[in-house]
Amino acid sequence: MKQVKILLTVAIVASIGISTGAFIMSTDGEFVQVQQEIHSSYHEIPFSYMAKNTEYAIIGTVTKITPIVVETDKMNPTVFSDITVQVEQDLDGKYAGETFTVRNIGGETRELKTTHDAAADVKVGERILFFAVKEPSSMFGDNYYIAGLKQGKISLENGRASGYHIFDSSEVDLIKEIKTLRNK
Amino acid sequence: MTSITQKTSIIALSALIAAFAMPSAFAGAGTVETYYWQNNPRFCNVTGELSTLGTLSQITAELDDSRATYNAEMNGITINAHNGSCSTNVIINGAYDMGWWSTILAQNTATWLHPLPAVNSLDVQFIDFNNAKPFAIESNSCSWTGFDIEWVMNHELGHAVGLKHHDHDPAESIMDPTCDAKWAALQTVDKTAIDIKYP
Repeated sequence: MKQVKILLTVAIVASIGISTGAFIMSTDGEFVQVQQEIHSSYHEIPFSYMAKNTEYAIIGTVTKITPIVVETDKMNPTVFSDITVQVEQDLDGKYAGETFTVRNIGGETRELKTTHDAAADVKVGERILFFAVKEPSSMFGDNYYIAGLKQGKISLENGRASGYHIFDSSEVDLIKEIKTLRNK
Repeated sequence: MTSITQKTSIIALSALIAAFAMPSAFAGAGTVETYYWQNNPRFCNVTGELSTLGTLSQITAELDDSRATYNAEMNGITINAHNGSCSTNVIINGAYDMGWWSTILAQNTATWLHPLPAVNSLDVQFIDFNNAKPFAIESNSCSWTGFDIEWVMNHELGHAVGLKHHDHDPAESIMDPTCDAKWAALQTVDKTAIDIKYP
């Protein structure tokens, strides 16, 4: 019965939406994608603090981004993305796995698209350095996520590093600096 | 618990209602930056969640101060005080754990059906505080030991009334995305933007 009501709802929305020209349905008329835009306020974490105090500092290449819809009692259904990274180097030398997965906020499924203005912008194939933390009681659940979100992700390309705190730096020098901070 | 599909249907119905209510000129708009409140919305404070931030009466008073700041500038649109109803035409204020390391202080969520512009921003919006962060009453600061809750609300309410981040440098705006003393009051550029949105 519930499914019938849902289908009826979508059908009504589709037919009236098309007839009024108020919005566009998908070509098959079976669904409407809900879009959720999240605007946030945040504070900056000094790069040195992040480099020194996070659980992991990982370098690797993004191989897969998988959208995950998370629903809790405290928030609307929201799309997160699990980012799989082929690990090239753990700056502390303690991570033994070949891949590392971090959860990012934002992503897209057929039914729902979530964007978040503080999220790290990550693409498949991108080589990155990131700081990872885990806070199981948070909306990220029992999953690692990028510390500081976009503040904790650094793009590495052609020997140069760039990110929220890093305008344009030598990759070698940056790694050396981070290792020094983490060993203090 | 309500399923995602069911909630999607509820949002779809809200969008349908809003589509009929919208003036034709607005219906043609296509981006979220155009959203605004057409009617006087009201606060809906989820008291159980907000009480995690501090004394509830004090928190509510701070949110009301922020509400008054915007009401003084919106040329006739008034955000009304919390009256207990959380159905439609509301800004729902709550809190949950977004993680300390996320650095998020609070966030505004607007939901709509593609490609309509933020239909639910005209109907229902959420402002949620991160209860993994310490907030303070009248701290007048962005200190890690106590972010001024009114300052944070000033920024988020800016999003709720349709303002986007002003992250160009120098950003003399309450819509600077990072916590700053400018969040204490609406700045000249913010008042100009509000005048355009609410003539």
